[in-house]
Amino acid sequence: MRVAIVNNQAPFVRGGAELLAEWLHDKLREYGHQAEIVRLPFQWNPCEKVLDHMLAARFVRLPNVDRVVALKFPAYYVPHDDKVMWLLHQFRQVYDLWGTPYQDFPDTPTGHRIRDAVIAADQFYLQEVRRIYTNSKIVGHRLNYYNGFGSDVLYPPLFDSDRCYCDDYRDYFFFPSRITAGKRQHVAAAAMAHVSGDARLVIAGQPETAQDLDRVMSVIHQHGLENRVEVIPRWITEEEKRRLLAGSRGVVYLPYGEDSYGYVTLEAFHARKPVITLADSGGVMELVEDGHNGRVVAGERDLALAMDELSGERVLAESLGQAALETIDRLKISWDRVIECLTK
Amino acid sequence: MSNEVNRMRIAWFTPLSTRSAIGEFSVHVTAELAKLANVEIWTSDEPPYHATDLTVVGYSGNSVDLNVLDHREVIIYNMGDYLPFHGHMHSVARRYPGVVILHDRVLHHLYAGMWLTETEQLPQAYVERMRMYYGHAGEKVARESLEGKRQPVWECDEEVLRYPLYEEAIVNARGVVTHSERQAAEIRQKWWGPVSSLHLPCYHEALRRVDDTFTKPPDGRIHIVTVGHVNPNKQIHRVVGLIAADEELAKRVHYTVVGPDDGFLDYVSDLRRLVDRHSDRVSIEILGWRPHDELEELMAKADLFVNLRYPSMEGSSASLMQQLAYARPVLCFDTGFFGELPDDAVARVQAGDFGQAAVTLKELVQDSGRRRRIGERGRQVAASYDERSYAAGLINVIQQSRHATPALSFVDSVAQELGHMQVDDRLPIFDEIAGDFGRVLTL
Amino acid sequence: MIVRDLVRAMRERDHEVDTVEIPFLSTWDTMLEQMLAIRMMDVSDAADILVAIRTPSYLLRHPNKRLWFIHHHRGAYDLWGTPYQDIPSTPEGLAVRDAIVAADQIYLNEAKRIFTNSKIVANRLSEFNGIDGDVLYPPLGEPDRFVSREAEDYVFYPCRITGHKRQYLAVEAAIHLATDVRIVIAGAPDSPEQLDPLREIIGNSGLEDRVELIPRWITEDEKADLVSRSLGVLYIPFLEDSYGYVTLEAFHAHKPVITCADSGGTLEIIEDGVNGFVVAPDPVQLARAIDSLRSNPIEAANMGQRAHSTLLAKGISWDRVVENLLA
Repeated sequence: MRVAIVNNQAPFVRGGAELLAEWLHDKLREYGHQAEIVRLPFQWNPCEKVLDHMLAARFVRLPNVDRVVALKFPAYYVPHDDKVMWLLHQFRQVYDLWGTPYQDFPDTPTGHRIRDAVIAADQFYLQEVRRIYTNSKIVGHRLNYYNGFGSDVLYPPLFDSDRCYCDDYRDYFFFPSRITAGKRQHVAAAAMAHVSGDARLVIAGQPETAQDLDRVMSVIHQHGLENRVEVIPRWITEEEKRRLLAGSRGVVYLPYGEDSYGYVTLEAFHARKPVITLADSGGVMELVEDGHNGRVVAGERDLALAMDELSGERVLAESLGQAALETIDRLKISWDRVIECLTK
Repeated sequence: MSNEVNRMRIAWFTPLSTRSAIGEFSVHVTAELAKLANVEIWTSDEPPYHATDLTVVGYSGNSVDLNVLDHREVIIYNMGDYLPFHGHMHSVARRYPGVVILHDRVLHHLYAGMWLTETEQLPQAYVERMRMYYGHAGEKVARESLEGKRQPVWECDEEVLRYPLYEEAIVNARGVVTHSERQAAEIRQKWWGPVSSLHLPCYHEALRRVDDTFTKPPDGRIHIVTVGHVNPNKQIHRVVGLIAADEELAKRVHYTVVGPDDGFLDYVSDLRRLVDRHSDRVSIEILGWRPHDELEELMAKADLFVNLRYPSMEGSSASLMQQLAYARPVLCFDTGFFGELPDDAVARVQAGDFGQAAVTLKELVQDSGRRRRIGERGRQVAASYDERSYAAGLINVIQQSRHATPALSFVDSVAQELGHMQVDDRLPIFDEIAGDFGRVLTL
Repeated sequence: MIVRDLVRAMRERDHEVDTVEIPFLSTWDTMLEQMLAIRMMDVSDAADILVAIRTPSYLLRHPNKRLWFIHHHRGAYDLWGTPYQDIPSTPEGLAVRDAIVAADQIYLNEAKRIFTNSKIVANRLSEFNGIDGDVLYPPLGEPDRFVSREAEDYVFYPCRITGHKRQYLAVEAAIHLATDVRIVIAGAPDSPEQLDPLREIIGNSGLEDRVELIPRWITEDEKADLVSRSLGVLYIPFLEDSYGYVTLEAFHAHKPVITCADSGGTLEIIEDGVNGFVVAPDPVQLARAIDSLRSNPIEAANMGQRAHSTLLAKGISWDRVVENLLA
């Protein structure tokens, strides 16, 4: 069938949703469908623009398309008789972030009115969707809680998961991710101060700002961890990442309150590596189960204990890693399933 | 302009029952219109129907067949203030916008009836609409009428004029036709689409049936006739009063009131009692509804028609045109459509001035020459308002409406989406769109 | 394609470029609402400059818009009253047409600078919208591919095969050739039926040795090769807005171009006798011009040189395009 993948566009920004749209596009073609990505500009400042772009979506016409797969607000308002959502994002500012320090939306009469319109629009237009899938349980729960719509979880697979491989279980833990406050590489580094065994830590990723890199480096210097913690402060290639992953004892991944499990987690699982994470990492825990395929711990010291345990017992790392690999099938994270769900 | 050669397909919605004056109007006008376009008549009522050669399509509010309307260039809705004839039509008009011909200015009884009694039990809709169109005052009146805290507004002839509810009929129209310029001007203040006024036609056949004799009738009395639904607005009781109060009038006239008398039962019984009270001195009969032929005979025998509607319902009157066709003077107030006729074509008196009406009535009774002059002039004017000119006027309206349709339907689409989003009307998006597209679209 | 080439050219000059592509259906009865959709979209915060190319992308909101205007919704303008009018002449259609024109009038003028891809389009913009646009000729995406080699014995016409490209005229011209020059025609037919008239003429007049027909899409490499060894290139469409990539490809390869007096945009850069020939759309005249290249190879080569210089003279370069669009 002819599928249009509908997404937002904030020009020059390319994040997880853009990647996913591209992967989905390529996979749909692989499975014999015709696919196109449709990207609609979205600007949300000032807040009145949110409403403008919602209305814009309602009047976009998509001729010659059998099925629409919509990913985000407000692009998912594009009208079509056969629309399926693979919901990555609602407009969280007016839902779970409303009333929190992360609201990022004006608390003015206008702001309130726009918020009301978003909620009313979701309430009305989501009814015309044939089926709703979400990329994580959290997004699904939020949708149900705030708007009363049910959905099924459809976990986004990696594009080329067969490129992930397991080599060995050496003495270092790997933390690949953009270096930001939210990803909390500095906490992983701080935990290394409490590690008693041989464990090392390799942190790799483009720092978002100089300050973010500083935050990590100063922890390292403060605790004299220069020999224990290696930082690669740049974007690394897929090759490099897989190689480092393949040889690691496990992955440490500590993002704060994420919506989805993160590709890092999934990559680790494909490479048969256990993942150590914190209890407030949000979506990561949809994949990671403490003691089964990784560790979920409360703070720095427990983090250190977990790393010690795994570095002390290679067999434990291997068996958790094996369970991690099996988790992928258990949770049905596959393109077969994705394509089947989105095109049936 | 090859497309112009193709005839337009018009779907004409109307009551068609023989009990409907609008039905009669429709068969006359569509016969003319059919010379210029392909017309089919859509009706939701039951036979017997006025005679027509055109295709008649029966429908109800929920017919599936309605989707053929997507293939008509124009749809015309003849709206009037009577639920049995216009209820279904209204619900179709909501889904298939078209040109609305307002036969009555006041449609309050239609909508109150629709929302409160028969078709839909939605009192909330009534209160909401009254608020939407008439603000707080309207809402209060609606609520209190429903709660029995006052006499229902739909029973108060004067007051209901302030809450006509015709707005409801034209909300998503593509064009509006009224039968008085005054009403057209009023609507243009509130509604941005094309609005035109056309003269109600005087049917050709009515013109043919002229009785030329102005001779004294056998019984010597001057025959005065009031035609139409018997209701307080026609002020029949006042006419009875002023005949009874004047010795000469009482002796010289015979007053016939003919038309359906089942609408305002209390009024009718009061009227009959009033007539009875004066029965020794006056010659007055209230006949109720009479079949068409008999009605025509009565009208042909009239020397004078009395049409003292007050307060003005602001609509126009098909019966007025027929009356004019008989070349008999019409005594009327200077309101609504009556005010728009040339001075010498009617015997017109300042609105509500019954004293003057009495004087003028007497003058007309006394002066046959005057009756003849006014009558003939009236007939001349009526003759100029025939079905053909109405149909031609309607074609113009249709062309304007078709030209305005892309803009109107654009506005409707946008409004609909913003409605689904329940957008607060204080948000700037409305001005933004109006600003951008106001310069682009012309109506 | 112009979008892709422009993006590449800008990136090569160290600009950050992203494209915004909005689906648009050009049927008249959905026009107004889709125009609203675009008008409601704002990219002001996203970039310093917005370059809008296709109609009606210039409805997008941005304080610093530049247009590289390729064409109007022509059904509402110069094609109104022709068989290509795509809006009905009904009252509804007229209202929409008027709205398109009114919108163009307003939103074209929001741009800080307006460029067109040819004089023909600039004239239309002036005539219909009272706007003076500067001509900014679109260059080739990959000019280096087109090199010059020693000319052999043929002229080349590379183009999709369809009625208004008039390959039939070239085939007819072959009937009147006096020298041994050949004509090579290459391109994918819009439909199989497009080839029938050509094959018929070839068959009836025994032109199999004169006319080589390659009725398929050829690769860029194949095309560059055939151009490089040709005596010259034919480009004889009927009334096109722009000079066409074929003309540019020939010029880059130092080859003269033969075109017709009614071909439209080609006349903006082809000068009769200087860098090519401009002939009446008549097979005999066309044959004469083709023969002339064969009989005068030195002159043909000189014309080819001048053809190449024309590129510079007319300012057909990405440097100029990028500089102007982003000034």
